[in-house]
Amino acid sequence: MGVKSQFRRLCIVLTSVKVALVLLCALSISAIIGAVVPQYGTNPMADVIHRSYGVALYWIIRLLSLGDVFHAWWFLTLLSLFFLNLVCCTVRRLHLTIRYKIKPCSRQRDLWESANAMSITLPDPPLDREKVEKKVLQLFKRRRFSVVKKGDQIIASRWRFGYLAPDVVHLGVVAILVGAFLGVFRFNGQLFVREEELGQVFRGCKGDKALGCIANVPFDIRIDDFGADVYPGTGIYSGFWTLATVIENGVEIRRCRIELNRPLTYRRISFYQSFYGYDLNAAEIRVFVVDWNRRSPLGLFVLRVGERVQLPGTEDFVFFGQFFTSLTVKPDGTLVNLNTAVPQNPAAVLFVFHGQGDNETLLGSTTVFANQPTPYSDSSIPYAFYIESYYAPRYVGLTYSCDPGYPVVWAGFVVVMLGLFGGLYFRPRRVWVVPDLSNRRVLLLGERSRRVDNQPWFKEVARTLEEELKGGE
Amino acid sequence: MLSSGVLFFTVALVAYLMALLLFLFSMLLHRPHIELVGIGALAVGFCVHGAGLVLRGLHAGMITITNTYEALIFYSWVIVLAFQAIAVTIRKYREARALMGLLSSTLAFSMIALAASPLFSQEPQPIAPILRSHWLALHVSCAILGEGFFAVAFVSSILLLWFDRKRRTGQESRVSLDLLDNLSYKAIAMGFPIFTLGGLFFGAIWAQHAWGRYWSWDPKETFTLVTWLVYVVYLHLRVGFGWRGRRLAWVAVIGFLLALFTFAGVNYLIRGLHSYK
Repeated sequence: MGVKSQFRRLCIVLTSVKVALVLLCALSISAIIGAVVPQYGTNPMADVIHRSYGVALYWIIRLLSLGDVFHAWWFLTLLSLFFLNLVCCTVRRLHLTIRYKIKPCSRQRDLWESANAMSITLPDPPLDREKVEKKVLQLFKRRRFSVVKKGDQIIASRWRFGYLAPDVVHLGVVAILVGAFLGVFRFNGQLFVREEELGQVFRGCKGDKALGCIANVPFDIRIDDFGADVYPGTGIYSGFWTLATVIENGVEIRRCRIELNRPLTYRRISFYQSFYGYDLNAAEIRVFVVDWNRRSPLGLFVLRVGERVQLPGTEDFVFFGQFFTSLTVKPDGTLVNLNTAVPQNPAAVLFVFHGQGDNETLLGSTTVFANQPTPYSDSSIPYAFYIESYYAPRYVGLTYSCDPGYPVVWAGFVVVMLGLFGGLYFRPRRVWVVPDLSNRRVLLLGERSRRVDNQPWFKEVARTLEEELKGGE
Repeated sequence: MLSSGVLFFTVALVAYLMALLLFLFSMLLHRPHIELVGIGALAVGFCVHGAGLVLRGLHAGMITITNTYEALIFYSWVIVLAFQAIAVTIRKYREARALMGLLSSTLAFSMIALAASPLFSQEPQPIAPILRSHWLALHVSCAILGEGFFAVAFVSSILLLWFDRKRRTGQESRVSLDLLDNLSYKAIAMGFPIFTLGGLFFGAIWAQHAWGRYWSWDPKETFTLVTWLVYVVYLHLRVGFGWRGRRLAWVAVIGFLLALFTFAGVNYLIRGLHSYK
């Protein structure tokens, strides 16, 4: 087999709609797998979950990269093949559409007697050709069809450019895929600011290797303030905001309030409000400790999360394990972390150890609520704890990103929508009218690919034409 | 209760139930005029339902499709809207219209009844901060509107499969299979661009505004894309390959089941960015 014929076969495969449908089905199935199987990029516990499926399944998941489907080589190959198929199909279709659908072309005589035609018998005595053609032209022009006479046929068409709609949709999808590919050059990052850092200028720097600055951002940014709004009477957030100032070459360029759904965009880099909350790992409590057995106070201690302190006159140590803004006890005794915006029921988890180093033993743990005097504790601990005050610094998290591909994606979407609405809401219509005077009839021919003889508009045109032709002059 | 629209939704629920029963009686008793009363009941339910949505929206100061209850209520209304839009095109075919009306009102009634069940809180809830955007109205309403038309296509496809089966067993089919096939196609042709616009286009714009990424392969996004691809396959099979009848009806059924799973199932079964309940 020659190179030329092999190339031709390859072209046939690439421009085949059947191949396109197979690829669409394969992409759909892959996407479902990617949505159902936990993915490494979005689920930190993905690997643990995959292991729980059993050895065989875990092995399959690892082998086929099912834990990262959308970056797997086989998925990208499918996507590339689909892209190639779409481009080839569009080029081929576009050529054929312009040649046979947009430009008027007459119908061959052997197609006149097809099922997709309607015959109107001319009255006796028959009208001459000129009069028949005049009536046909008038009829279609009244219906806003553009009419062209080619040889002995009249070609009437409406919304002719609707034939291009599938090609427009395909071109739009191609643009979306190109835009998505340009997304390879996107960069993003996160900027976390604690309340003690308010007013500080965060330096931007070109390139992503520099340390101590916001990578790839060619300007500086200062966070002036941030906060959260809550629905009145509830502890539920209604929104978050950050006041930021863009600084370039030491000059304040813009001051902006960044909110959810309202990013700050400067030099094509956008800053989005992403996180807000209390830095619970930096929480601090002032806790009053009482020796339960001796009924004597041991003193007031300041503890940060992760810190431990020795209780005076004992071998025991208190370790501050965790802090919660809102912890509640359910009727069955279990603890529930409500994690509300406004601290409603702050609580600290404290561990009590006896001794230190190798001789250290855990006596027990207790959960102490700031607003409740009764600790939720282990009975083996001989101490009572009372939180006098607490403090957890607030922080805000901004995500910044720049994607050179998304304007192309937007353009692609607009093109797709134009094609879809144009193609499905304004379907093109085309009729060939052949005055066959030798057989005393006028033929109305529809398109080969689409049945028109059962379409109400086609029937109406045929009926009106018949009436007008019978009406004579 | 008045401002939250619950009273209106209850009236609509009763109207849809009446419409359902009237369509059923019309079919069983072969009385065409009962079917017209059914259409009337459906129209009354639709208007009251719409008034309830408007009232709830005015009370909240925004379009209320922010949780499963509100989404179900809206979906149910959209199904009736889509049915009414399609019913205009088949007003000459009473038998088909009664059957379509029966199944559409069953779907609409099921959804509104599910919403009214104790599973969901009916009172307006504070919405998540991320949902406070005008893109919500465009994204969710267009996506559900598209799915409403898919529901009508599903109904006509189910009818087509049923009558096709009857015909294969030698029984007479009371409704033209061609008509049902055309209805299914018309509904998909109407719904598909709206679904694309709402589900994918507006969703991507909103995601870019809110998260800085227009596409994250989130389960809901992925299932929306898969649903879209199934309808793309449907359109190619019909327009490109000239498929008609039973085989194509199965594609429409699969498409709607996927759309339904994307609408409700994903939120509850798969963890992701769209887990609003």
